[in-house]
Amino acid sequence: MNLLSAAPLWAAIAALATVLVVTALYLLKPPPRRMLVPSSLIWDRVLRQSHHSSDRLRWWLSLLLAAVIAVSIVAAVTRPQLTGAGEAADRLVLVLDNSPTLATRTTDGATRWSHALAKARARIAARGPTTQVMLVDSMRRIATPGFEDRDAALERLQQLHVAYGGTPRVPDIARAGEVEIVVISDGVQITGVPKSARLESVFEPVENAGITAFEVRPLPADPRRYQAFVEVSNAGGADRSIEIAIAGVGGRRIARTVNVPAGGARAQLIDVSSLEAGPVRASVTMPGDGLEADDVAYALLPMRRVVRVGLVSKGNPYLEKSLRAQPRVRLTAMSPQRFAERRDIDVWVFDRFAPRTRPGAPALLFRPNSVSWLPTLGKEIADVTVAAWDGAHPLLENLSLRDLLVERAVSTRLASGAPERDVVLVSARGDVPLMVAHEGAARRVSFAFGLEDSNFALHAEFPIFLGNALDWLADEHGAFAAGLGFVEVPVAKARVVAPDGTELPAQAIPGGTLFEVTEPGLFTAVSASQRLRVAANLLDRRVTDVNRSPLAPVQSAALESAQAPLFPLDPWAALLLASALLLVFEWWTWNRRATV
Amino acid sequence: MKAYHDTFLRYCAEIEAFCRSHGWGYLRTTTAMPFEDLMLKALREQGLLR
Repeated sequence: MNLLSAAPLWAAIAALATVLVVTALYLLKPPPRRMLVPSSLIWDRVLRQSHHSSDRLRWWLSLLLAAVIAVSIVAAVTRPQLTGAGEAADRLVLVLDNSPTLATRTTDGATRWSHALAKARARIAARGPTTQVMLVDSMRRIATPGFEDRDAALERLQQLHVAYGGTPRVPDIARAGEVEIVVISDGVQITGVPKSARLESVFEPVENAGITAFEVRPLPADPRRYQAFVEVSNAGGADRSIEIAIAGVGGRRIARTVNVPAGGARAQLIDVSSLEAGPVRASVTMPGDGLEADDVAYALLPMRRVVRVGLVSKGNPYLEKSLRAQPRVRLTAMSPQRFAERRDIDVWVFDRFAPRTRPGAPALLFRPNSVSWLPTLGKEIADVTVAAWDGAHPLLENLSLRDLLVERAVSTRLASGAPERDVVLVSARGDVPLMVAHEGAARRVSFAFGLEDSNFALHAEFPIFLGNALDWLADEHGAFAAGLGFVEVPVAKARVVAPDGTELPAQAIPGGTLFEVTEPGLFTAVSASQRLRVAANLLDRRVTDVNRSPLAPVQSAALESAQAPLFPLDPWAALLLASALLLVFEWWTWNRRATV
Repeated sequence: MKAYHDTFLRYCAEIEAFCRSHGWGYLRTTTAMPFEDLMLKALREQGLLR
């Protein structure tokens, strides 16, 4: 809202008053000047021959010019909010697509998003002053859209930015009612565009390469060694040579160049065992790359230290031998009677035993006895058949439990108070939990059956499971993988620290913490009892594929000229300029005796 | 002033034309010139005086 702007009625009154004043000044006749002349003979003839009608016309022309000049100045100063013909309180719904692909650079050096903003500004400015605008974004960052005046809509437009996470779509609110709907988009990801909407394109094809998958994981055959899986996609129209680089702590760098076909992807396995434990950054480099957000990805290379394992068992040769065979385990075996809490143990393995109080270190338990800190045990069941297992969980990675046979198990009832921390990874028919992982300050994995009651210890995959379990229980196990956008981590009331040490705004939610990430990075969520590294990466092929749009390409230069206003001046400033020009014109006509 | 000037010239032309049409002489001067000088000059121009 312009402070100088006046209501139309007051502006009209001011203009009318100005015209009246000007007219009154024109009607004022100064007293005739007296002069002594020798004869009035010639003067009489001059007066008789002069054209009265021409004078009257000149007077009216002069008055008209003066009135127009005066009204123009008054209008330019008061800036009345007039309603044009046919513009009676019209409404416009403006939907801006702020999905990740809008961050793509265009050939003029700007971005699709900046072109979209310019288009939106031009559409709002082109409407009448009383137009009501509802600004809506496809990523729903405007929580409660509503109709507002042009100035408020322009202000809200400035606060919008490209957002990540979720599926970009035109909200239902933009479909209701008989209003004009304009959607400004590159057409790559947006969905739900109503048929009645006018779709304005900011799409321009560009070259783009991006990382669409990145993971650092131990070799199944040798947990001491790590490899990085990197998938690179080429969204451009030509085969390209793309450099992949993986950098670790201390500046060590592994680079290789791969040829990726147009519209295709290439996966690479790179041995990163030579890198120091800690943050790992993968990046791709290609000249003319259009999107920055998919050019880097982060992961965490876990510590590879000796794990001190305490085995508490009445005697289990399979388990003890398998643990001793683990490459980085230092085993201490003891009987349940000799068990005592120790500070020099990193992971406890309890076989058919559980201490009365929860141990300080993480624990792996095989058919523990009933204690208060574990889920309640029920009746024993026989001939158990494995029905389902979660192969995506780090504990069961590279494992198949298809041939697992269990003679006897005990049914377990998970505590109803905190079910979100207990995850059932293996279950028998009838949803009977066989293996439960507990997330928390001290992790634990609990089996509902003993090793001698199953063939699990005889499986070739049993040592792999033990390796996975020790990694998961003892290590800072990789990083919590998250996408860009809103990230929810299972750390309650946590502070979230960015890679540069700044603290991100975070919000406590039940059982965790919520924060927003706008660029890839390795973040740290810290609470009083827990510390979690979060690798936030884009890793989305739908975003990297920035050219998959049904819209016709528009050259960015053409976009720029289409958005440029025909007349760069504010209308009221133009009116003031016109007044000045009229004043010059009036002065010229007066000098030419065309006006009085 | 231009209208006055034009009207004045037209008025003088009318008088001159009237004089010529009746066979009268016409001589235009300003009040700044003494009457005797005017008459002597006019008579000399007509060859009535030397």
